[in-house]
Amino acid sequence: MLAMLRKDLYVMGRYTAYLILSWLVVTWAATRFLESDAGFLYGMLPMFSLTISLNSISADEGRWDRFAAVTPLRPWQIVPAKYLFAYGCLAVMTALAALAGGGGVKLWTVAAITPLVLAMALPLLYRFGRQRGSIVLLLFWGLAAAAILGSAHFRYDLIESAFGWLEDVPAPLLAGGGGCALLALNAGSILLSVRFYTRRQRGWYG
Amino acid sequence: MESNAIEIRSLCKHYKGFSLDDLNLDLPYGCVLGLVGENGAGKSTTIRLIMDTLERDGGTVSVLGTDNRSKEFLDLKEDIGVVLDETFVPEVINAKQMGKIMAGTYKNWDQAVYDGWIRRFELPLDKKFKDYSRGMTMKLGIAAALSHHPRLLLLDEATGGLDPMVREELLEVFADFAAEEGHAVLLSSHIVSDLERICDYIAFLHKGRLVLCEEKDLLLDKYGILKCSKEQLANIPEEAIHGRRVGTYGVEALVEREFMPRDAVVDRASLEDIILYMVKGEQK
Repeated sequence: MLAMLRKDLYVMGRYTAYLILSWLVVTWAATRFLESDAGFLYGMLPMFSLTISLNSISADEGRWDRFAAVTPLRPWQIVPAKYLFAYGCLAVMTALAALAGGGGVKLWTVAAITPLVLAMALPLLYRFGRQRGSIVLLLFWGLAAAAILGSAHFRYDLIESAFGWLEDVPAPLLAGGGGCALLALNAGSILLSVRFYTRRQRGWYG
Repeated sequence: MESNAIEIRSLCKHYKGFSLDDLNLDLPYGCVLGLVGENGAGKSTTIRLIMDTLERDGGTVSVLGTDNRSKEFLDLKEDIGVVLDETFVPEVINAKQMGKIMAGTYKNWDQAVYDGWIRRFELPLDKKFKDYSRGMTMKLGIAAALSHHPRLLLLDEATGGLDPMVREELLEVFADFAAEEGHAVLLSSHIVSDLERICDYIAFLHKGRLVLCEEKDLLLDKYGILKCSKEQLANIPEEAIHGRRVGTYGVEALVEREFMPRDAVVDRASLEDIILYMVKGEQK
């Protein structure tokens, strides 16, 4: 597993550095010249970890994955390493944004949502591959967003009755419960990704 | 120890528009088996099926005495060095980083052996792979495949697209490897001259079917080229003729010496001749 993490670091290192550098320039320019609230920019940094992880899977597809299949590496080492790499990126990017002075609610919200997005995105990429997976992912998020916004617009009472009770839950309990749900979701996501990866390696999906 | 490094029995794989049918193949220890065939003949599919990275539709494959579908086969991959037909290495890393990745991949990884191969092949340690030539990339793949003390080498078009100097060097490496006790090499290629130089056995795949699998020397003894007129060819027994090429001034035919009249002058056939005539012989 460490070998795979090492490879991802080598492969994505420079790309990550460029992303961070671009972000620094944009954030500096926004705070210096626009005199507007740049809070949303700090939230972008944890989202970058998602881009890095997805690009890393894309980079492996085909060549490296084909080679990995002839080595003693197991899918149980390869796929969880990808998740670990993603979590590592998220931790570093969030810390960086917090250190840069953006440790507000927006940053922590994005940092909490990113593992949720990861848990949903990675199995889709392992199942459908880079190209089709990206399209399925877009469709999935598009439909989810449309459903939520549509419900909020036309039947807000439904959302209120479904999630209104959350307002009465104490914050620590809500955070703990949310954390546990996120952990369970990611564990399920890893299981699913390993299954899809194994099948893809054996040519099940063409 | 079992006598064959690879034993394939009735192996089948069906795709839309292509079938690998009833493949039976043995690779004895201490030998180099050349798997030859045109593009799309099923060479890479065979190698993938040997490594069990592709779901097969029938048959059995035993590698180094182990069923390749058993759980033990995953650990056995430590003993198999594979060189694929294309670059598998991420373009942005270099040979030094590659060594570190491989060290975490193979338990038997031997950094000193890897460093030795890198020096022997004169590969730059800090140059990124995107700046490597094809020859350098293949050498790196071979260095990696040889640095975890494998007993079996599977080489998928490892000499394709390389200049003669590099091919010569690599063929020597493969022959030396096979000469060590308990080792074996399966080399797929469509450069027949390479196979003729180092292989002990030749397996010829054509459209997913194994046309022949024989010891190379026997094969070269068995067949020959007969140059004669159309009339003279008509007197040769039909079972002796495996392919013919009709020219303006006469006929050239691939013949089996065993069935030839004693006084017939039959020239030596190269492996390439045998294969070409056999393919074209289907249309004779």
